[in-house]
Amino acid sequence: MTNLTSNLTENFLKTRSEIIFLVGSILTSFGILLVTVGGSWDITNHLLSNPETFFSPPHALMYSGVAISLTGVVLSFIGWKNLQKSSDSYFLSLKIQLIGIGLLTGAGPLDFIWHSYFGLDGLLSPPHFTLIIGMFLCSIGGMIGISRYLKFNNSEPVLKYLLILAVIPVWLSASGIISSLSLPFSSTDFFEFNPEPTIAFIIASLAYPFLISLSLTLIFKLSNYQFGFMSILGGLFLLIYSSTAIIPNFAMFDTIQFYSLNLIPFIVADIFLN
Amino acid sequence: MNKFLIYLSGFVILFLYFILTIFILPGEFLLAEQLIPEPFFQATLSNSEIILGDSFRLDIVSVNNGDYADIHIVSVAFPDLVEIDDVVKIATYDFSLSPSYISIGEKIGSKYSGGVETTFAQYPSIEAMSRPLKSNIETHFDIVVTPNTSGIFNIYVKSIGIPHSSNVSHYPYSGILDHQNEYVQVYSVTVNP
Repeated sequence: MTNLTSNLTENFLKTRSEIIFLVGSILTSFGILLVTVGGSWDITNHLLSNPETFFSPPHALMYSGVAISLTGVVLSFIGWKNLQKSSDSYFLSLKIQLIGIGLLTGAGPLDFIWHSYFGLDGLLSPPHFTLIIGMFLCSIGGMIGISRYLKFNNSEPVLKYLLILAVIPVWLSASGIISSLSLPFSSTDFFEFNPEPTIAFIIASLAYPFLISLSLTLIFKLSNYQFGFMSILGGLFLLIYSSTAIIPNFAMFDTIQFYSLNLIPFIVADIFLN
Repeated sequence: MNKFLIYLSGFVILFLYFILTIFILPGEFLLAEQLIPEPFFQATLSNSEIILGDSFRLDIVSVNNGDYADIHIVSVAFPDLVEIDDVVKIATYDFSLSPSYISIGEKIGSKYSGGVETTFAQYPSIEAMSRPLKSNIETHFDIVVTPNTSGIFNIYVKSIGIPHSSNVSHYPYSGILDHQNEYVQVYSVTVNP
């Protein structure tokens, strides 16, 4: 009887800690999603309006995302700390989240110092690259945390859709890394960080298709080959980029209808594979 | 049989998608009507004649009468000055970006080329910029000038819309050319000793 009570208590604590860890991972992934959406919007805002103030809506979205991710990582740590026997299963996720959030939050003051000495920077600069790597690692950590929870627990089928929240920030942050290494938006008065055009072309041509394929394969595998997940993930990606890069530009508005046709390959791939 | 039909439909749809994306849509997009901004301004001088030491005011109201402009510029140049210093002060300014002060010798664009062709400034100027500017939105740029020498004090005013896609994307359309080889309207005040 004492053993049964002890086991029940242990299971309850384990479940509660795992749920806390899951919530932490969800917040980390959601926070990074906000940072990447804000980042894409910020690039468009800089190109179109050339804002002269730090206090802009895209910046507000980005910094909110950082705050939410930080909260998520702290929660993940709390959840992990209270896990006993299954702490090893979630340690990798936590470790990556911690490194990621360290880089992400460290990049903020680094960026301020950089601006103080060198003025406005372009897309690629040491602080920006630190930030993007931090975002990527946080999103990977969040994804591993969410997918591990779903793997080890017989959760409600609806919770599987959390995998979309898990994978989309990974896709977006990796896109950010490729963009910063291939777009010519990094030349300033002090530094020439623009990538060499041929190298940029090679990176963009190889990396983007690889990333898209990897993201779709990932969601397909993590969802146990379920129909619809690739279409939803692809549709969400298109929605985010059309909202942040096309809609703010009045002159490009009519291209939305053409851009939305890119949903076709995602749906066809989904149908073929199922 | 069902599977075969599904795969066939999928391939046909993908084939059409790639044909559209590679061959048809780029051409369609290029055929789309280009936006043509039409900047216009009205400038009012407070005085045509003043005594040395006094000030006069130039009020400029500009508007974009055409399509959406990525950038709307109003430029005020002072061919009789070596530097702006305290001679010119901005009284009213409601453009979306801060004014840009151009000094003699600075590299500037010319011939409405958007920076492709350049020249060096021969006199100072102030550029007011809004980015972007939708149609029929008024912007105001008023300056107070206190000339420090007697004679005729000239001010060159022009407005440019970007994309500079037509001969109406700048104002005035003709007349005197400034150091950038662009048309300006001249406003003159006689400064008596």
